[in-house]
Parts: sequence; structure tokens; C-alpha cells
Amino acid sequence: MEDVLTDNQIVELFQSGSDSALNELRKKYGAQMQRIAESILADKRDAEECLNDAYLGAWKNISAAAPDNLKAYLFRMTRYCAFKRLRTNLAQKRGGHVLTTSYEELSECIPEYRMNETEQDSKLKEQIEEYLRDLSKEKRAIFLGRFWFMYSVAEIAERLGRDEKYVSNQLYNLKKQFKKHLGRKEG
Amino acid sequence: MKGLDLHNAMTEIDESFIKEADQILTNSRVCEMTNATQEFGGRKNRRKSFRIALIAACLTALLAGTVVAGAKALKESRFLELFGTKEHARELEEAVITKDLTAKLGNVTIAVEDIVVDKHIIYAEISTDYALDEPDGWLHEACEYSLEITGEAVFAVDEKYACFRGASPFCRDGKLWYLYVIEYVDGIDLGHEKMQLTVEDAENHKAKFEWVNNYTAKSEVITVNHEVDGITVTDIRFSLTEMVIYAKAEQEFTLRFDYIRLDDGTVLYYDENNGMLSRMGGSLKGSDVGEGWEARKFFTLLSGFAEKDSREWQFVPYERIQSICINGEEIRIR
Repeated sequence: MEDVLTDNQIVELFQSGSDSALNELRKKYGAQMQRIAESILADKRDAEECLNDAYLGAWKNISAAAPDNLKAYLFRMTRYCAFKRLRTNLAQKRGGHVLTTSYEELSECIPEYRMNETEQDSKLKEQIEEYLRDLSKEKRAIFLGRFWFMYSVAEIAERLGRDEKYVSNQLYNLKKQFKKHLGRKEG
Repeated sequence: MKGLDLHNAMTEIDESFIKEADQILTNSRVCEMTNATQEFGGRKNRRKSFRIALIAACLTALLAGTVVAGAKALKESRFLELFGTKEHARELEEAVITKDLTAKLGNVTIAVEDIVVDKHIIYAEISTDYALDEPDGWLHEACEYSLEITGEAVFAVDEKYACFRGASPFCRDGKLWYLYVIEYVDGIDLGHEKMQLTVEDAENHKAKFEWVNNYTAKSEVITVNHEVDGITVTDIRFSLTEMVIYAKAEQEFTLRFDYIRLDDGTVLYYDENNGMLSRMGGSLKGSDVGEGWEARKFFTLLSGFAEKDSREWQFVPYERIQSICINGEEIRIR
């Protein structure tokens, strides 16, 4: 089995401009980044291109950013790239087949009266964080497992040692609560 | 606002949330169980992990030598010894299935000696010829030689069920052994499923063992539907080594589990004298399931029960359980 470098060692490779930096990053996190990209973009070719964008972003930015949490940094970058591509696809009306289940699931949480909001809501992030803070650790992990890490219900269940029915029920409830929380925006 | 806006905002959330969720979702039960003998501080939302870790970890003081004639009985006794259970249990004899699947990893011979089968649980006893200078019993210190073990059932039609699994090392006759537990939810029947078990040493020597189960495990579901303090105890599900009590209510609840009564009147408590075990829950605590609150509480029948003020745990054949007592109310089930 190949040795896997620590996150610090990988960041140092980027900082020293080593050719092997990207390979080491790919070796350690490539599969998980690919899973996230494929969860957002159902089209494999889109996901591959998104992954390349994410690697390019990493190559350009990691040295300066020197992230404390490399994994979260890379996953976040993968999400950026994937949603950017999804936005383009939707704008080009290629969206019919690229919408993924977790995307749709979260979109369903938007209260009807907020669907027509056009301006970028700068408070949305805070609202999500506020919602997350009120949850128990396990519920937060279930919610973010589904909508941030894009795991399937079965994967979350396996990772938590719960059965799928339990996770499904929790998700159902969490989405209901989240929708209600978003609906409280206007006070 | 569109779905994408929501997802973009989600992407931006504070890193502490991501880190925390990642830790919870990455600390797989396999990792947790591999070091089960060292880890007592399980999360309360991983009651099953905690429960089995405790089974594997805390009962070493009561090892007893039982001399029983016959290979099956001997194996069954030695298996029970691990759990600190003294007496011979005929009910378990038939559950011990000899496997003798061997492989060589480097210089060490590994064997799946036997499996002890339950409806949704399999306990695999894995031997090595790696010599230890230790008394028989669970190993609490890290051993110089160790194996990574992963096992699962390979269900037909791409079914993937969440399972709990983990290895606990122990010493038997001066050699390193592992007890590997694979447990699925109680609706699953492993009796005729294909099983896979992979062992790997620190030098990445690897071996895979496979077999197809061929057994019929006994089990029983008793519908109770008995109300205790406004909470409905709905079902009790028994299998050879486990009792699961289900309860539900409209609101959040916690029920105290007191004892079981056997057919001869003996009252057995669930490790109430053991602080560690009582912490893991002589209680049924409801979880929010969206349409009310439900609790599912597991009790091991291998070693969890003892008479009042006794530390002599017993294996309990479930057919002998006549009633259970919850919140001070005795519910007759047979």
C-alpha cells in the first residue's frame, strides 16, 4: 500500500512548488472529491471537468491559503466548482438531467414566498448557521452529511451506526424544520 | 431564491460545522470497535457501539474455567468465558459452527476457527499463532502484532444495510485471538447470506475469507402494546443473544428498565451494579422520528443479566423470560 502524506506535508509540497503535490492530494482526497462532484453533477464528464477545476483551484490557492483543515478546504472548493458548473448547465437549460436528489431535496426547503427573491441574500449563510447551531451533534451530522458532504442515506446510516429508516426519518424531520426556519426570515 | 443560492450559502458555512460533522461521519464504527477494549467513552447516540464495546471490554474479572465434555460444548463455554459468563449454556451449543478457514499472513497463520451465529449477529472467533505472554482474556493494551479486520454480509441485489462491526483482541492459550462481531438491525436474517471477512496485518499482507451461511436461527417477536406512564411498549424482539424492546409515544420520553423475571421466578437485573454498564442505559430513551418519538433498546442476553447485587452474569435463554419490568411496572409477556 502506498504511503499517504499528512495534510501538513501536502500543504508543504504545494508551498515548495513540488510536482508531486497534486498527486499526493489526489491520492488522499481525490476519490472523495470525485464523489462530491458526482453527487452534484449527475453527468460523469461534467464531474470530471469539475474535479479538474477543483485541482486547478487547489494548485493556485493552497500555498497562500495554507488551510488549517485541508479536507474541508478541498471539499468546499469541489462544491464551488460543481455548483458553478451546475448553474451554467441550468442556465443553458441542460438542467433536466443534471439535477441530483440531494440538490432537489434541499431546494424543496425553500418557502414558497421566498422563491421569487432575486437579490443575493447575504443573510442566508447566517440563517443556515443559526439553524445548525440549534441541532444536536448527530442531527447536524445527518443534515450536513446529506447536504454538504452529499452522502446517500445508506452511507450516513452506515457511518453513524444507525439504520436507514432512522436516518430517513431524521432527514424528513430536519428538512421540515429547516423549511420552517427559512420561513421565519422576515420575522 | 433558487436551490443553487441555498447550496452556495451552504457551501460557505463556518468550517467548524464541517469539521465536526466530518469527524462524526468519519469515525466509523469499525475504527471505534477495533479499539473497543480501550474505548469506553462512546457517544450516547452510538448506543450499539458502546454496548458491544462494553461487552467486549469490561467483563474480564470473572473468567471462569468450565470443563465440559465435547468439542461443541467446549467451544461454547470458551466463547461464554470471554463474556464472564460461567455456566454452560446448551442453547448456545448449536450456534457454534466450526469453520477452520486458514490463511498465512507473512509468518503468522490466521484462522476463522468458528462462528457463533444469531439471527442478525455473527460472532467470529479468529485465531492466530502469534504467541503472547498474557493470561487468557481480553487484551487491554495494544499488542505489537495486530490485524485490521473487516467483515460484512454480501446481500443479493446490491442491498447495502448499515451494520455494526468490530474486532476485539483477546488471549487464549497463550496466543492472540480476535472476536469479530458483525451485527445488522434486527429485521435482517443472516441465516443464508454470503459472508466476507478480510484480515490485514501492518505490513499489508492480506487474506480474505468467504463462506455462505446455512443455518436457521431462532427468534421471536412478542407484540406487547402495553402502556406505561403514557408510553406504549410496543414489541419485544428476541434472538439467541439479544433482546430488543421497542416503545413509542407522541412526545419525548425516557423509560427506566428495571428487570426481567424468568419462568422459575428468578429476577435478573441488567448490570445495575456495574457503573459503566448502567450508564449505557437501563433506560429506553425516545428519539424524534418525525411522526412521534420511538425508542429501541438493545440488551445482550450473553452476559448482561445478573441477580440483584451479584456480579455473576448469566446467559439468558429468551424463552425463559416471563415478564419485563419497566418504570416499576411488571409486564407479563408469556
